[in-house]
Amino acid sequence: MTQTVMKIDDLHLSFPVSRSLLDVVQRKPGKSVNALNGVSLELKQGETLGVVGESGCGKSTLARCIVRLYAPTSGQIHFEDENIFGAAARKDRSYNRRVQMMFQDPYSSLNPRMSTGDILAEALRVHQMRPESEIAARVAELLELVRLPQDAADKLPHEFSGGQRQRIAIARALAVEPEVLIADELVSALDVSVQAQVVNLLLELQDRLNLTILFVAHDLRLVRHVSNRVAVIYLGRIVEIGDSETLFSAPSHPYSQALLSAAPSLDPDDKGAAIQLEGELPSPLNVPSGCPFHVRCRHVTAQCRTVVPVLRVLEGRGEVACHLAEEVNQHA
Amino acid sequence: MSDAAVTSAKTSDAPQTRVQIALRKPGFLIGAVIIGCSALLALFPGLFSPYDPNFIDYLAVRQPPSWAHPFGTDMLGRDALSRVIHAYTVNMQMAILATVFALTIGVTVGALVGYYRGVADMIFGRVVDAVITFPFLVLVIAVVAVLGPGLINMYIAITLVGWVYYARLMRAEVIAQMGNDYASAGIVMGYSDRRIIFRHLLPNAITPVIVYWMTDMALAILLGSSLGYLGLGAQPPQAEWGVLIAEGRNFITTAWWLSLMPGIAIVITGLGFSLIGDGLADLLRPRG
Repeated sequence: MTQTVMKIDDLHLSFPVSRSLLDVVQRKPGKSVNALNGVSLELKQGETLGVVGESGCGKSTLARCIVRLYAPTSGQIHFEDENIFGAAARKDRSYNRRVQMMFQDPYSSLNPRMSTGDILAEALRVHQMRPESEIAARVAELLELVRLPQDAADKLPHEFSGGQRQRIAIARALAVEPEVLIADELVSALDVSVQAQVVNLLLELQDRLNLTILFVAHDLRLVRHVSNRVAVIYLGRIVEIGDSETLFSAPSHPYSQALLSAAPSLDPDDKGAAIQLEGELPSPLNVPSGCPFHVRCRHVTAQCRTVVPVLRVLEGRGEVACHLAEEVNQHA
Repeated sequence: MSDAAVTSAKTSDAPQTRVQIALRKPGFLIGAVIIGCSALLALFPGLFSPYDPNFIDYLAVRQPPSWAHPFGTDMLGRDALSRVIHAYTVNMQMAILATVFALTIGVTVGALVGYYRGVADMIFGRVVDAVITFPFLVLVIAVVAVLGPGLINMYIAITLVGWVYYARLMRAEVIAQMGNDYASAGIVMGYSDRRIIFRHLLPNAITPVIVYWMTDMALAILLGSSLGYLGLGAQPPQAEWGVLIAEGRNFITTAWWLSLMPGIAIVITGLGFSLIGDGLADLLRPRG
């Protein structure tokens, strides 16, 4: 059994919505956007965990919580048995070194006024990864690692393409020799051909450096390609989590089934018995009671409307948060 | 030429071409020439002025412009050209001293409240509202009235009011820059707040502030000479444009050149700063 590096426990995060004067006068209660509604997750040493879901479901929020860009409203994240939001841990910069993040937008994630060399050297210096005399050599090494030419060190970010910038971002994250990488929509801003390059580079580096990766994306085929395990998020909750191949070939939760059937298939015989979801993703301002998916689910029962389903192991599948998992999957 | 020489020539070329592009704009070029000449006059007034600005000659009072006295002479027979030239020192000093402290304080406060937000930001917002409600000149006059007239007090008064405008601009820019992932990346990297604010956010947020600074220098000269005119800034017999205009005021119908010439000096210098500010906006904009 591989070791668990990170344990996320019942993570909630809500952002208060500012109230207008009228709301205050009318004594309307303050609203809040519930971005995460109890996410529990374990990240295991050396694995790639894919996180999928539609826009606004809380994927990126989860990623940003893990690197402490957001503090959760409640719930905990433990990294090697230490609560990362504890007072002592917050002061400790070593967590920032060991868990790194790569961002979606390669055009805003690099300081436009710093050369590639400066960006990498800064990370090395702050975390004292190398003595001053070896920094230039290490920068060169990092550039080679992400297959950028050596003269890239003197150039400013605007001189690079999107794919090259994303590789600089990878180099920056790797400069501090992290153990866990959080990739938030790493390639969704790139052309398909460049996506493959960057993703394959990431997988190769993972192999070489024994990295654990949390791969947040909305591109399902990509996630299937890179992940060992996959978590499906719906309205700030994990509805299904399991082994990547099993989940993609036989999704168990009605939402996962709908989500996967919406992905285009390359099989010409697959005429697409796509499951049509009704309605839209409910507003996170007003999360439905019971199962958050019940307003759009085909199999909805009275129980679904009132009782929140918890993740439970389904025989031969992963873990599913659905009251009717057994029945739903018998018919399927 | 070796390869290394070619690449090094290339890297040193890049900033030059930017300056060249800016200089190709006639406005920036004219502004640079005006401010360059003004700086020379301010630093070495003795080299350019034909007479001692304080030499009194009762035999030659209020003479009209002539070859001997191109700007004429004033009511005490002092050479008006020499006085306008010597005033460059004080008035250019105003452009710098009345703005540079406001700039420093404003940029620091603005960057800090923009980065940390919270209660400090709310208090800052109220301060800004309070200061901006008053016309700038009225507020400065009020402060000078409390502190007493004089150049030093005038600088203190302008700084006390002026930093708010810099801070407001800086705060808004820092907040806008915070929306970029490079700021988040700095936090994820575990960089100190100081490093993120001053190494990462500030260089990207400062361009509009620098451009505003140039305009503000022109305004500072205008404000300084207004206060000089009102007797709240530089004090006679100090040669200062506002003071010179005030001295000539009583003779405006008979010796118009006494007030007109320093007025033209204010206009030209102000124009120079504004043109430079306009050019800098293009020069400092990051590429890509």
